Amino acid sequence: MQTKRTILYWSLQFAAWGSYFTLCATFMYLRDPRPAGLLLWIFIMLGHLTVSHALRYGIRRWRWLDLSPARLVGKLFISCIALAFAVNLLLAPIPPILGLNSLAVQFYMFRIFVPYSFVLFAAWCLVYVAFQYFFRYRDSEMNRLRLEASITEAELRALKAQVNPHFLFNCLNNLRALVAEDADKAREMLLHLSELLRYSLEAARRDKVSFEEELRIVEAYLALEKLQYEKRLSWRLNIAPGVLPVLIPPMLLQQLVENAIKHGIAQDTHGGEIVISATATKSGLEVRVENTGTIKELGRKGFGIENVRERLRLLCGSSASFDLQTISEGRVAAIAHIPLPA
Amino acid sequence: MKVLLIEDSRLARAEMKRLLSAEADIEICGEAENAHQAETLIASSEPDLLFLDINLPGRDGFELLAALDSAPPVIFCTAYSEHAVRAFEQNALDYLVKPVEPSRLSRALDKARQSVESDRGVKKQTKLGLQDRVFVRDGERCWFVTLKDVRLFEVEGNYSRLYFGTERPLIPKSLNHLESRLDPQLFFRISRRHIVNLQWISSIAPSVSGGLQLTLKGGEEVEVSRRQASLFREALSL
Repeated sequence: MQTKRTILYWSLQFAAWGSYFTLCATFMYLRDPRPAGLLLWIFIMLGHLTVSHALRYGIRRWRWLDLSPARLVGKLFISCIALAFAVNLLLAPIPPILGLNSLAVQFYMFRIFVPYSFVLFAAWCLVYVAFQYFFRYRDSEMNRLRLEASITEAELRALKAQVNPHFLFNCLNNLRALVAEDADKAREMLLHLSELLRYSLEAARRDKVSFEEELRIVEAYLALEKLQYEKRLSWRLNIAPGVLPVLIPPMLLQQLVENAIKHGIAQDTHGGEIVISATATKSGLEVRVENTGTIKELGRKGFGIENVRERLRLLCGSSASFDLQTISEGRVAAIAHIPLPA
Repeated sequence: MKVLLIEDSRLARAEMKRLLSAEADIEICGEAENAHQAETLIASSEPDLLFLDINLPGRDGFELLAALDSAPPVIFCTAYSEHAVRAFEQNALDYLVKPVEPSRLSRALDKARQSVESDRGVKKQTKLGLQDRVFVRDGERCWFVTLKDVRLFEVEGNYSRLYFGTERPLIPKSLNHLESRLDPQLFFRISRRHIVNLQWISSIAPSVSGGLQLTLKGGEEVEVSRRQASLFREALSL
């Protein structure tokens, strides 16, 4: 993008100054066909080109385009006057060197050429600023579209935070076996499953649920996972009593626990333990899900972390945070901070 | 038919045993909760067929198969059809989704019976022959390759590269290990770098270095080292 614009800038610079002065030189040549005259016009052109480039450098260096239009116009106006003098002073020694005219004529020329250069630089500024404003408008438009797209994507992903089909079908299969083995327990588990399914279906339509409600579902979920992992899965709850009414996004804790099982418990032939804790902090609620295991496969997991983070930001504001860290050898914790609504 | 169940959930194993109890000719010769147990049981009880869950703790079902010298017929069981399964649906014996539908299971078993029947008699050798299958996984793609289709094995560090069809995947086994497992009447170690399937040789010519230059039917050109050349001539004349 930047190189494309630099190329555009230089082509316009050379094309505009070049064509304008070629025209001037042609008229002059028709009146006075001396080669020195043509040479002079080349110097004049190079002088204006150099000085206008210096002006561009200044505009970029001091970020004049970020100023209010009135201040920008003021600064450009003064610059154009100064540069009109500068370019003509710079060019003053050239005509005598080329043997074109005397000092008196030169002084006369100077009076004409300063306002003339000023008009050229002012026109240059007009074109330059117009281009820059246009680019800025287009960039901001593109950023806006990009932002909109990413928000929609995040929303879609948030909706997708539902019961994992892999879990669901394993669960149904286990229930099928349990019916023959322990019908009463199977009936109880079916209740847990329907609770979980109902909750996850409703979660798409609700923004916030109480921590207490979410926790009840997570316990139902863990009971169902216990059918799959049996001895390999154990858990502890460490919930401060005050946090139960705090509002959190639905399925958030469930997702953290599901990840802890998927990446921690399911990977180990001996399974492991999950510790769920929730404490009140000054600004809100800290939810922590610890599991045995290690952080690996950064590629794919990185996406999972981003997903949770984005969802939290979307639903709880920018002060919400989420992180995954190794807390000791073989123990990993997912930590979410959820701010209290102001 | 001796069947080994490889599945980490006890209830899922119970469910499968219950379903299989309806089939008179099926004998469950063992149950494994993970890949390690499965390897031991495959070696000790020599099952005709594996029921294999892909998601296992530690090494998964694919890693288990890749570690075996030859893959017995396999029916994959999974809770949800991941694309890893779909990737090789065509050349796997079959795959079932849990909970398993009984009619779907008997169809899969019929296929397995045919395959096991055709393997019988050829099998039960200590060395791997042309009809043996190996499981090969290369990234997302998997194959059950019958050894008669493999033209060439090439050393690649501690791994070996297999040449079959248009594919050249790596398997996590050394060429020395393969040499010790393959039937030397059929697969010949022509040099430090290569083992060649004798049935795939299309022409033989003397080479500059005093060995032999082989051209395979797949177009590959490989060299028999000088040391192996006389043994190779003997093997061919037999």
